[in-house]
Amino acid sequence: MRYEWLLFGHLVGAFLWVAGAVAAALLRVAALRRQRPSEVAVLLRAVRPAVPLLGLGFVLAVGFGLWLADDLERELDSTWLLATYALLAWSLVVGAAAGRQDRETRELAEHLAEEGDAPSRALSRRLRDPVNLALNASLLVATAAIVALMVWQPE
Amino acid sequence: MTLDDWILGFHVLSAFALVSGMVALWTLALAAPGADVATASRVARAAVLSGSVGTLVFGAWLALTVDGYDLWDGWIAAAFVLWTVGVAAGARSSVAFRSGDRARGVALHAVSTLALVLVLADMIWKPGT
Repeated sequence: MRYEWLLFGHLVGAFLWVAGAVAAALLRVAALRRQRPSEVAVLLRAVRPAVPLLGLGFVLAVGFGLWLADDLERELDSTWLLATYALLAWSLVVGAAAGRQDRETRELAEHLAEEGDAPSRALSRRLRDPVNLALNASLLVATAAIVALMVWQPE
Repeated sequence: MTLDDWILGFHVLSAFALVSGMVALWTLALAAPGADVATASRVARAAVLSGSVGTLVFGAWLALTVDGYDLWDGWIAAAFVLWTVGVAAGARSSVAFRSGDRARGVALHAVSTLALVLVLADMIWKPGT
């Protein structure tokens, strides 16, 4: 019975984390297609609820995951788990950096919305910043890679 | 890895696509009401659709091929019923949102989400086994 509860907690966490990441990505892409700062601000503000979802999912997935591995007497230093730890660390560091950039973009959009709400080249440049887009894309790739590692657990 | 391992993997990946799409739709409905999110909604609905079909197809495949499982096992039959409820409620939710009835859309999406959570519990505990 304990195994089922641990697995349930781990999967709920994993689903919340992945779903939060996908939701944030979709809203970010939707914001790219908007011209008016007010519309961009609404969409980037909508990312905010996804962040605690991501955080809760991360904590549940990792916490229950380690508990499950211990309960099943799995080696915590197996190749696929080590790769997972590295991808998790990447997600945390890059997520914080990209999140800070996106917050500054949202604040710019909110400011421009109050100042007349005219389309802005500066806002458009920030939304299309290749470094920021690459960082956000790498988060999705890392998330997909973690899911694949969890499912197939290659040795 | 056996073929069944691969099929199980695709079944779980489909579930991730389904859940991701469902949560994305929640975020779009609750956190960005009134915003023009047509493209984002289309992508989220595509994830839900592909995840729904994938979980059904790969799940049925596993029920047929894995020793000890049968399509008429109680927990597998329950999963089919819950899947049907979830998909039907989700489709009606989509219609409600498109026709502007947000309250009805949210309520039906909640039913679809509940069905999804019950399927997850069903998959883990396999009641009756």
